[in-house]
This record gives sequence, C-alpha cells and structure tokens, in this order.
Amino acid sequence: MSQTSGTVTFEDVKGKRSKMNFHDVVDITKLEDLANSLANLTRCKVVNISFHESKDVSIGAAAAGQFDTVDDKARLVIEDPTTGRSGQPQLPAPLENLFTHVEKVGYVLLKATGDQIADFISLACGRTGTEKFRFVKGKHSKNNTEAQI
Amino acid sequence: MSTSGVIKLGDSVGLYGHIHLSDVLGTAELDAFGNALIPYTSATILKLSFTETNVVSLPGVGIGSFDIRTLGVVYFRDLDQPGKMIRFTYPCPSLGDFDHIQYVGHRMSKPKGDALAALFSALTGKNLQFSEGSIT
Repeated sequence: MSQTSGTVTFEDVKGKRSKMNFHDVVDITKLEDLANSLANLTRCKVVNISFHESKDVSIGAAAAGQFDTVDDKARLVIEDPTTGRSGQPQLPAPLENLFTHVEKVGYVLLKATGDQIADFISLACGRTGTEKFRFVKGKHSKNNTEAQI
Repeated sequence: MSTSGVIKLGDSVGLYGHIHLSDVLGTAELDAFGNALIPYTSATILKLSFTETNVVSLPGVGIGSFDIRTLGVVYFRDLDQPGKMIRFTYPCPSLGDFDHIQYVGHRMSKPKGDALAALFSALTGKNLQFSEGSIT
C-alpha cells in the first residue's frame, strides 16, 4: 500500500519560508494546479513543489552476521562520467562476502560487487551506455581501507 | 525538476539505516533497485520513498505586507466520511478573498471556498465541501 503526500513552499518578502503539507496527493500535476491556485490566494511567492510517494515493504530478512547492523556500511564512491563528479552511496549491513580481507589492511569491497551496485544505481536513474555510473572504490565503514581499481 | 529516492532498511537488532539516491526515474525503478540489493545486505528493506521536486517562482497577489506567520484557515467537510472535517492553512492570505464581518472578523467568501474545495478534491481524490475560512 503506497502513501502519497505533497509539500508546497512559500516565501514572503522578507525571505522567510513556510511549508504546507498534504496527504493523499494524486500526483505532482495536481499539486502544481493547487500551487498555481494558491498563488492567487496569498501575498507570498510559491517557490517549491514536492511530491512524495512511499510504501511500506518487507523485502529480505534481517540476519545476524559479521556485519549485521545498519551501523556497518559499505561505502562506495561512484563517478558520473557526464560531469566527472563523484557520489558516495552507502549500503547498510553489507554481507561479509562482498569484501575481501587483506592482511594488515582490512576489508575492501570487491570490484565486481561495486560494479554491480553502480549498475543498479544506473538503472534506477535511467543511465545507459557511456552515461552509466562508474564504480571507483569501496570500503567497509569499520576501517579505512579502500579497493582501488 | 529533480527527483530522489530513499530506501529504509532495518537490521536484526531493530536499528534503521537509509540509502539516498538522486535523479531516480520513478517508483518502479526504485522498487527494482531495492529488490536488486537484497543479495548484498543482511538487513530487511522496510520502506521505499520517491520524491519529485519542482523549483518554481509563482508570485503571490497584492503587496507583500503580511508576515508569513499570518495564516488563512479553511475547513472542508469530507462528504464521504460524515462528521469528518479537514483543516487547511496557508500563509499570507489575500484580504480580497475574505469578507469582513463586524464583531466577527474576516470570513472567506463562499466562491473562493468552493473553488478551494474543488481544488482539494482534485488533489486528493476526496469529495470535499467548503465549510468556513478565517484569518488567524
């Protein structure tokens, strides 16, 4: 079951902002219609319109393991080839077998795993071909080791 | 327009973690991403959230002398749930939408209220009727 909501942000002449939140919003176009109409009711400017959709799920099963809490994270660095900028997504409670333990170094993320996660993010963001995100390096949050490729 | 996604995960001791993503295409893609992560984490995925944001600049009406803390308060009846009222507030109400009633104060005009009820009904899919509106 998904829940939807919307936020319209107003700004007054002094630059102060105020937000209105709505439940059960059909879609962002309806929210835009509302914002346009609200602009005719208020002396403030409408500066931002946000539509949120969320759903409660239960996918997978929390399991005990070496890195069994969400405080343990796989920290990745991925690069956007179109801008050259990097992002740093983090995967909570990563499985142990995603890492290789290097003596006196610690846990480093496997390149194949990093490539796969970068591919998943590319899919979610509609990046294909030469625009796909590129895995640069990854490490476990409990140490400072990094996998260089 | 910008979009983003958040995936909420829970571990075996009841703690929560989140994955934040920018520029997500839509809810279906976020769903697929969440499912693809299952083999990589020992946590359970509990919630998938998608946000779409538009930065706009829609000027208000009149001269901006009101403070943003001044609110218009409007009540709607939910005709599908008799007895249920929905309260809606918005900042810096335009005085032109209200009639001034002596010893009572400002009350929203019925045409404006009806128009707002129609907007809210379209927005939420509910069957709303304007009840009353005032200024705080």
